[in-house]
Amino acid sequence: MLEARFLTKIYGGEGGMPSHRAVNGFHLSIHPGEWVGVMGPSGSGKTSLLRILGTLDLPTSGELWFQGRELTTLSSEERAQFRRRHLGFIFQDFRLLEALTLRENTWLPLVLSREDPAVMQERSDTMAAALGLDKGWHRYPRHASGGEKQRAAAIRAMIHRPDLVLADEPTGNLDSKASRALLSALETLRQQANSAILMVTHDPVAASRCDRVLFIRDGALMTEVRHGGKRQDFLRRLLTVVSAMGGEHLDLEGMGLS
Amino acid sequence: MTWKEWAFHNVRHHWRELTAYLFSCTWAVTLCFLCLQVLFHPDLSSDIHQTFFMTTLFLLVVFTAGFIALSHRRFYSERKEEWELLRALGMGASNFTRILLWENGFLAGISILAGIAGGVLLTPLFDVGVSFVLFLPKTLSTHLSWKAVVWTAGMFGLLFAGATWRVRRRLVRDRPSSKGFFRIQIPEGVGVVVSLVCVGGLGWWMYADTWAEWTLMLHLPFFVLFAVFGGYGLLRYVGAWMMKQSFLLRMPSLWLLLPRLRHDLPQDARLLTLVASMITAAVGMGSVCFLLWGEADRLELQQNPWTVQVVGATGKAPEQEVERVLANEGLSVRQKVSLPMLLAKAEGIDYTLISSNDFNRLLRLRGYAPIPVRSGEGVHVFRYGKGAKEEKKGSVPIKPERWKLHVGAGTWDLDVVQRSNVRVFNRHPRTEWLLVMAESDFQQAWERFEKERRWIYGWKVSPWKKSAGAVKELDNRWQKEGLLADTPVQGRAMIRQTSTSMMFISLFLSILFFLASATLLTFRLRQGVIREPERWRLLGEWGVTGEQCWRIARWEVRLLFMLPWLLTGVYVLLIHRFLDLLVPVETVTTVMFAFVIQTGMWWLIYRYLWGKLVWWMEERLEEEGEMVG
Repeated sequence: MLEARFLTKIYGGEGGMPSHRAVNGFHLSIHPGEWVGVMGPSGSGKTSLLRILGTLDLPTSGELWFQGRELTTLSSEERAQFRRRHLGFIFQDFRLLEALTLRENTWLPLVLSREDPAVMQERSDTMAAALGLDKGWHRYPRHASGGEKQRAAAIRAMIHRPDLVLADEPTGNLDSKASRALLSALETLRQQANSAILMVTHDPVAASRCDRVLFIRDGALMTEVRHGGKRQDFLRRLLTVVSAMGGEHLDLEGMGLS
Repeated sequence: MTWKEWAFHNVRHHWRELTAYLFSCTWAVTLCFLCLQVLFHPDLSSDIHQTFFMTTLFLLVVFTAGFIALSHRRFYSERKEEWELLRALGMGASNFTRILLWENGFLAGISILAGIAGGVLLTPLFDVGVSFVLFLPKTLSTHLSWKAVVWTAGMFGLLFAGATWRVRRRLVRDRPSSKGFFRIQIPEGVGVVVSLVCVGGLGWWMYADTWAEWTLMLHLPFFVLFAVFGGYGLLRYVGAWMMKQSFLLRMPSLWLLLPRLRHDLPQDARLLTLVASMITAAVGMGSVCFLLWGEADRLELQQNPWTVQVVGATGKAPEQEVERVLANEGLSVRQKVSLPMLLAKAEGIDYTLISSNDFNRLLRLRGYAPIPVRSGEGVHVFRYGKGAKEEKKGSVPIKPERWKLHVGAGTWDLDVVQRSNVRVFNRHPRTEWLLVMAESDFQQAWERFEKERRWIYGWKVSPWKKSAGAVKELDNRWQKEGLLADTPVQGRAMIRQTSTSMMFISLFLSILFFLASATLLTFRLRQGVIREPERWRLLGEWGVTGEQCWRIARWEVRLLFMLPWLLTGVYVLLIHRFLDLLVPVETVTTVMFAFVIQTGMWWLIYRYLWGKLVWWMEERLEEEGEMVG
């Protein structure tokens, strides 16, 4: 469905300024319904990669194909239309519009596509009920908890049944309970919409929900770990890679993995 | 949810930022509507009045266009996270246009409707004011013009549409433009040099002898641009230097404030310059008006020392006629002169030759010292207004110049050794350029050029302000012959009329400028507050107390108000200098008075906005608390 070839992104380098290679010849392919995790230390180029895959930024070189279309050659307007139809976004800081309630925020992709208001309401209410969000549904973001806001953001990302959801550290601002709720919600929504998810995360437990996890360093793919088998085994393998990459001492007992 | 509902939600959500802005726009609409009402008034068709209100309207529209464009840009650029999100969700150009049109449609609709409604309510009062300041024989009848309504709505509709278009262009642009001041990043060292050159240039301009006021007027915008630009560079440079100083490292509040200023000021530079320009315009207009109003009589008497003046008479006939008319009007003659003159030409300019004895007699009457003139030499008296600076100096010796005068069919050579612009006659084409000759030379010329002999008469009467009737009668009788010169009576009325109208309009404009300044600063402060809790949390993590945070915030706001005020102080020096050259009376008291009043008003705005800021901040912190909880 989505295929990236030799993606490179270089920042700076103009007018004698030092340049920085954030993404370095990256290859990637994502299939429908797949959940892919991206892990790596801070500054490894995860967010830059996500922005390029989401067509928010253009690569310095390389190709990005989606269902047979080269995305880097599209105009700004065409890329906007592409995002509207095929992509959903979840951000670490929620990015909900303060002027709208949680419920109204989830309608945004459908408003942009000029969907029937009855469809918007029905679809968002069904998804909210599935995620247990019906209580704080009519609150404004400033009055909602972090967990509620992130679940609303997840609904917004999925409401138009996109082919691919890009999530940038979605559990970064949540406590463990809210994180678990969000990841379960993502799983539910993924099954309902058959959307692929690409999730950047620092949390190995969150990453263990994925079908495979890509580890990147200095903008390049270092290794890839596939699920295949029990979730605990998968998590153990992820932790091994994290440790090998210089990760901090991990409390395996606390995670119930000892 | 429809687009209209979404736009309405947005306007409602941002109503606090928008209230002041809407208020300013509404006031601008009201002013434009009132001006148009007068312009379209059937009883007021005089060209002078039409021109005056057209000029006011033009200034108003130009200013409002700038204000609306800047406010829009600021308002929308502060919502950049929102636009970034919508862009990520796939919002394209047409969708941006749609939401902006709806939002601005609401804003424009509210402003235009409320502004016109306010204008309709104020029309009777405005008509009374206009009738009074324009010395109309009877008060203008209240007349509501549909044309004025349509023009106001159309003009402001276009202004809002233009501003919307500009914002849309920015929003749909692929990459945001540089945030640097005027999109150029100038090294700090260059900024310092530019600033010092500008400050030096200011000093030179103000105190050099050779400059002309128009040169300053032409260069002022460039000067301001560079001075401000360089000034911020200088501030950044000084800031960078101060950050390294040990004494500052012992003052954590100030040490934390400086980097923040270095970061924010270049971004705020344009806003602060606009605010400074607006409050300066208010000071400048106030000063000019009060000056003209207060000094109208003195100015007129300086330029027209004679209540009635007759120039170029070939005989004694006018003398008895003028005195008869003055007696009929009950005016007593306090002073009277009659002196001979000769008509001459030099380099295409008409000159009047008079003798040094007569000229010195006139100088003594005005309280000036006499000028000795030797045979073969002359004094060039040029017209008033060429340079008030010389008026103050009176007469200055110059390097002798040989002039060849054409007097009738003959010629006369004269060495001009002195220049003077002391006003001894009224404004009249024949007395704009005088040449004073030695008494003996004049006698010779008088004998030689019989056909060029003429007479000048002047009368000072008491009370001079009541001589309008006599002057009018004489004017009617002799207008065709071009004998009667201007008199102070008419000029005084004209100056008063102009300055009163300007005072009237500048009062409205000043209110608008203040509202607009307050609006722009409100935007700036309110948007700053949104980022504050995050910053304070960070500072708190480093060990900065809440009290220190408030102190830093207070200093930031103070500086935000002080910088335009200081810039206005510099402008005030220029205004004073400019007026000093333009008007031959003392201007410093008037200008300082206007500045002090302005300072008081500025301080009130600061107190009000600081109070609001504290309130917003506490509210925001409470929200943060709720969010964290």
